[in-house]
Amino acid sequence: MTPDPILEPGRSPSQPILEGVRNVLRSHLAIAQPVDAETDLTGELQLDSLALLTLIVELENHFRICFEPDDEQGIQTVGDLVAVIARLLLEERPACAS
Amino acid sequence: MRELTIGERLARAADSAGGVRFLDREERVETLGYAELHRRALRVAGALADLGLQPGDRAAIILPTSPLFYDAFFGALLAGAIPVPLYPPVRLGRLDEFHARTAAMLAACGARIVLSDRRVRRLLGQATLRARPPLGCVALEGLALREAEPVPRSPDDIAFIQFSSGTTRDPKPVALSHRQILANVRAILGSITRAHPLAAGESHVGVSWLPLYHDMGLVGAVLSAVDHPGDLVLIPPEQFVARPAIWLRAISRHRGTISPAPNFAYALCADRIRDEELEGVDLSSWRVALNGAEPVTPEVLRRFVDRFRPYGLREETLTPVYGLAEATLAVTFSDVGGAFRQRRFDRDALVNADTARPCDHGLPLVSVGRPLPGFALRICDAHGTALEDGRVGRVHVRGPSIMDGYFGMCEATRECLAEGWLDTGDTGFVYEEELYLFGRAKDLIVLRGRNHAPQEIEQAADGVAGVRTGCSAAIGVVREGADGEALVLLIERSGAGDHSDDATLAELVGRRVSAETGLRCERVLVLEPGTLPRTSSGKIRRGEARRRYLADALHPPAKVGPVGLASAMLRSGVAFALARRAD
Repeated sequence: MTPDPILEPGRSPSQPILEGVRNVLRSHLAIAQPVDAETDLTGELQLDSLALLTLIVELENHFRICFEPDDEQGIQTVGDLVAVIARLLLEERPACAS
Repeated sequence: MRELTIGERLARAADSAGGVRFLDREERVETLGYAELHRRALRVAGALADLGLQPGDRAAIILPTSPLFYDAFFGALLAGAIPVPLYPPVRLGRLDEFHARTAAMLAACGARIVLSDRRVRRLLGQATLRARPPLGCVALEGLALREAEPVPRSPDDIAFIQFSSGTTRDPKPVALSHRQILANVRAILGSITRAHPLAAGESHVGVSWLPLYHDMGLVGAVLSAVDHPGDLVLIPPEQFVARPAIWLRAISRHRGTISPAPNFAYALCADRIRDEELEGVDLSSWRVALNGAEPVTPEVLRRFVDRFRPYGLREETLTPVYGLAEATLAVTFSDVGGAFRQRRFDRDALVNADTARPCDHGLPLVSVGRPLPGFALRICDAHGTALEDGRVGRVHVRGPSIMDGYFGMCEATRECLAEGWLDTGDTGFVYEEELYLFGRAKDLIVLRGRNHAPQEIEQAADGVAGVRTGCSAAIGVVREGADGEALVLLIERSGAGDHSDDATLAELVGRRVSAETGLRCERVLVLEPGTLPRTSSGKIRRGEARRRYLADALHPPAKVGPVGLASAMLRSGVAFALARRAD
């Protein structure tokens, strides 16, 4: 994965975001296995549609962000998620209303 | 005379004080009365007519749970068109899969227009490009509204089309008339009201998080509430999935009396909801919790009752039911207002002798009750001959809400419909006048109320090195004590005799299936080559594979020597071909 420029060391919120994603995976989806940026959501973690839905809604709650459909395209790995979350946090887009 | 079309029923509901409350993720309520919903629908109808939508045209609807869904659905209906609700994209799901599925469904129903909102429309590009609906894909927010007179429809005109199967391979558009739909809605409401009579001026209050493109959500919640008419509280499905407590809180807060859901939802609630999420919750208003759309498991019913009894839930509230999209929605109801019935049946007799024999330590099954008034059911063998009670066979149903056919698919219609009897593709038996479901004649796998074709799953497994090409079977299995149907994948290894890598192969296949189909295999079983039962032409017999799996009778073929060859040939068309080549 090519790192998003936002995620470069020094300016990077990626570590706390990765922790947050791990947290959500652990507490809401009972994922016990180790998770890093390369971990594939559907391949390795075998998240089905219900689990993916839970993940995305809980990430929105956790980070107080709102994913737009475009944001979700092409997300395959935990690292992809972290990059999108970092961007949304920087944009300070308001949390989802509905 | 009672109004005979859905449009007329909405107009009548508009004279009532009832309406729909839409909940958002913060559980805030936006209420729209039926009068307002009717007015909005008439204005959308005008806009759609101006766009060129003609009576009888199919209007696909791809929208989340929102007032816009009502606008699109009833707007299309009042314009005389035929709404066809489809799945919006799954969040974080693969878009290519969504596009392929949506394009197939648009083509199958011959959609003239796609109605959506701005958010979803951005994701539809590929699907609409492929299907090319002549009037394009329209975001509802941008319509030029103009109030129109409703286009008159006859009760026997097609009212809407719903898809029976969510698969790309074989989407089947079920066409239903106003008469059929209203017959089903009234049979449902009639059964409930007989058990729970309403005082003058009182009406049922529905609460639902079910997707509106699913028969249970659309017919069971939206249209039942319009016909009644009564208040309906709608929760977006994704909010329920992430926070199941929102459902029970809504029932409590809005004093819901009827709320349906598939089996998995009851399990999700029992497992995921914490006490602190239920502060002040009182479920005593909940009279009927319909449980259908996938196999009902006794264990889940029990767990749900035990978990929420302290919050006022009554055991009699849980009402297992059976139905299918081809019958509009409901066919049988267990005793509304009575406790659900669980019985144990001898497992061996069920699996190996197709016979239901009560037995103290057998397999527990839940009764889904008796046919609704006006409906009939019979159990038949594969040739359509009726079997006596206690015999396991195909479930055939008849009644006023059975479809006339799949839209534009005569062949598929003929395969399941004859002389008014619908072959449901489910199998089961009648015991003491009640229906028990056990297995399925069709190869479909039903996970959380949604149907999946096994071929797509097997195809994904096929691509993994070490799997014998074309030699896998995806089956749906309900295990005792489990929450519902689970996906089991039986695969044959490409090399005989060496099982050292079976665990790795199973893991790889599980991952590949998950990545390609989004489905999780509960179990991947690696078998010796030639183990799966086949037809004489070498096709895997999934139903038989499933039966042998359940009976623990999946045995590898005998070694192919001169003596064993004959039996091996019978078992495996592929082995047969190989043996001939070796000659």
